[in-house]
Amino acid sequence: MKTRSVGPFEWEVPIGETGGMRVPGRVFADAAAIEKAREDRALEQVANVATLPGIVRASYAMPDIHWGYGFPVGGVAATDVDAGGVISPGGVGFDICCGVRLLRSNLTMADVRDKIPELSVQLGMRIPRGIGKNGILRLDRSELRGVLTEGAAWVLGRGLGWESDLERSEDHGRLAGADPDAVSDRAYERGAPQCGSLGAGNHFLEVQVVDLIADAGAAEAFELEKGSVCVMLHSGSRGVGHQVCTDQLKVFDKLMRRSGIEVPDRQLACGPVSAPEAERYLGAMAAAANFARANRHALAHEVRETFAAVLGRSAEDMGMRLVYDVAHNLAKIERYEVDGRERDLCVHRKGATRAFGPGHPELVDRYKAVGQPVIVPGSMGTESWVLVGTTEGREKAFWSTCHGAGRAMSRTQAKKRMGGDQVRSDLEAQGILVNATHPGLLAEEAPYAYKDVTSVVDTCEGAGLSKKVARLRPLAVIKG
Amino acid sequence: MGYRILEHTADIGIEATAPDIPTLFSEAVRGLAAVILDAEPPEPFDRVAAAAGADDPAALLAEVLQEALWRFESSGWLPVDAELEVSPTTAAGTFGVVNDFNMGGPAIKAVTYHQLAVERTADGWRATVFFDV
Repeated sequence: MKTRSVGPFEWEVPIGETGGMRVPGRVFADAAAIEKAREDRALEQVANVATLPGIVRASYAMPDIHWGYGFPVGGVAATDVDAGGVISPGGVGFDICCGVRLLRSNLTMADVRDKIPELSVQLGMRIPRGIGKNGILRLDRSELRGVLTEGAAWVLGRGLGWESDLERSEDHGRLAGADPDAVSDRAYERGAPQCGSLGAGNHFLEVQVVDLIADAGAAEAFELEKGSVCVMLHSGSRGVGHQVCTDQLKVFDKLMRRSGIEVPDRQLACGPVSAPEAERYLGAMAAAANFARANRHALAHEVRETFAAVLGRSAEDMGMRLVYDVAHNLAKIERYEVDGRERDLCVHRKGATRAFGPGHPELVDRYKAVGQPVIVPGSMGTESWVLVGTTEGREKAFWSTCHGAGRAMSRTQAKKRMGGDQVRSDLEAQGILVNATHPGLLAEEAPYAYKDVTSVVDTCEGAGLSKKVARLRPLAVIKG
Repeated sequence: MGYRILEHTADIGIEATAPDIPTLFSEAVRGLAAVILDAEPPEPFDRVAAAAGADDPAALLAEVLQEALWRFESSGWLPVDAELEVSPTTAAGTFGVVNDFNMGGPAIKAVTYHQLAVERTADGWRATVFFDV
C-alpha cells in the first residue's frame, strides 16, 4: 500500500490503491507508526473505507491506528447524507459508545498514599467487572427502556451521581433520537442486569495522579492541578451494544445487496442514511449509546461512594467532579462545510474521539473558551493524557483525534512474551497496584502490547488534531 | 483438519477445516471455545439444542457462533462442539457444552463479518472468522 507524505505527521493513501476508492486515505502518523500501519494491514482498511458511497474529503485514521475489523481502529469517515451517503454499523463497532470518563479531585498524594491498597481492594470488590457480570443496577424491561431513552439522566433520576455530571458529558449524557423499540429482545435481555458494570478485555478503572501540566489555561478550566488525584474509567454499552451491532450487521448485509453496494470487506456492510433501515439503526445505536452513558455514570457513582467509604470524607468534600465523558465508537450526524456548501454528514468515529475546538456552540460554558476535553488512556501501567480540541481540528479531520495508545502486538504475542504474574510484579515494582480477575488478562493487556501513548498524543498535537493538557500517572489499576 | 487460531492486532480469529460442512461448523465452535479457554476444549458433559438461520453458509456459520456465545453468556455453559444438520440457510441440532472450566483467554464480545468466509478446498471446506475482543 503506497503512501506519500503530505505534511507534518500526515500521509496520503492515493486513490487507486484499492479498487473503488472514492476519496484518498489520510493518516496522521509519525514515520514509525505509518510503517507499523502498513505492516498490520490497517492501511488496507483505510483504503477499504474510502470506497464507501458518499464519503467526503478522505478516509481518515488517527495516530493510534491499527488493524481492526472492517474499519481500522482509529478510523474516521464522514458521508454526505443528502448525496447517497451511507452509514455502516461496523464503522461504529460492537461496543457502541465505548468511552472514557475522568473524575478529578482535590485529593493529593499525601491524602491517599497510605490508602491506595485499600482503595484498590475496595474498588475491586465494589465495581462489578468481568464477563456478563451483574451491574450496580439491575433493571426490568421498562426501567431499561428508560435508560435507553434518557441515558445518564435516568440514573441521576434514581439518585445516583451529580447534576453537574450531565453538562460535563458529551451530548449531556444523552444522545438524541434513541428508539428503544428498535432494540431487540435479546439486547434487552443482555443489558437488563448489566448497567453499572465495567466489562472485561481492555476496560479498566485506574486511580491516577496528575504529574504534568502541559497547558495551564485548559488545565484550570478542567480543574486539573499537578499532584491531584483522579479516577479514569473505560467501559461501554456491554451486551446491549454488542447485540445491537450483531442484529444490525445482518440487516445491513441484506440492505447492501439490495442497494447494489459493493464493499471490499463484508464487515463494512452499509446502506444509505436515508433508508428506513438506517433510521432504525441510528435509533438503536443512540439507545445503546445512552446505555453506555448510564453505565459509566453509575460506575462513577460507585467510585465516589468507595472513595468516601475508604477516606471517610464525602465525595463533595473531596471535589470528585467529572472532567468529561467521551465516546470513541459512535456515528453522528454533524454539519460541516464541504466544497463551499454546508452539509449534514454522518461522521463515523471507530476508535476515535470527537474533539470540538474552542468556541463550539455545543460546549458547556466552562469549556467554551478552551475547547472540549479529550481523555486518552494509555496502556496499563503507563501514563494517560487529557487533551483539548483545536480550532484547526475541524478542517483536519472533522474534529476528531485519537482514543488511546492503540495496540501494537496481538494478544497471543503478548502472552508469549511474559506471563500475567510477571506483568503484575513488574508493575508493582513501579509502585502500581494491580487488581485483575485473572492473570491471563494482564499478559494480554501488558504495557508492551500497546504503542507509546505519549508518541501518539505528540503526533496528534503535531498534526493539529488536539493539544496536550495534562499527563496522568497510574497508582492502582482495576481490570475486568 | 481441525482449527487454528489466527493472529490479529486487537482481536482474534480462527480458521477451521473439515471434510464436510457440519464438521466444519463443529470445528469452528471448538475453535471459539479454544480462544475463550486458551486451551484445547474438553469433552462435553451434556448437549443442548442449537439452531440458526441465514442467507448463505458464511453468515450461517457466524450465526451459529453467535448462538454459542449467547449460550455461554446466558447460561455460563460453554459450547465446545456442535452436531448440526446444515442446509445452505439453516443449521439445527445440538451444542456439546461444559460447565467446569478455567477461562484463560479473552472475553469475546461478538462475531464479526471481517474476512468471514466458508470456502471449498481441494479436500473439503475451510472457514475463516474473526471475533471482536
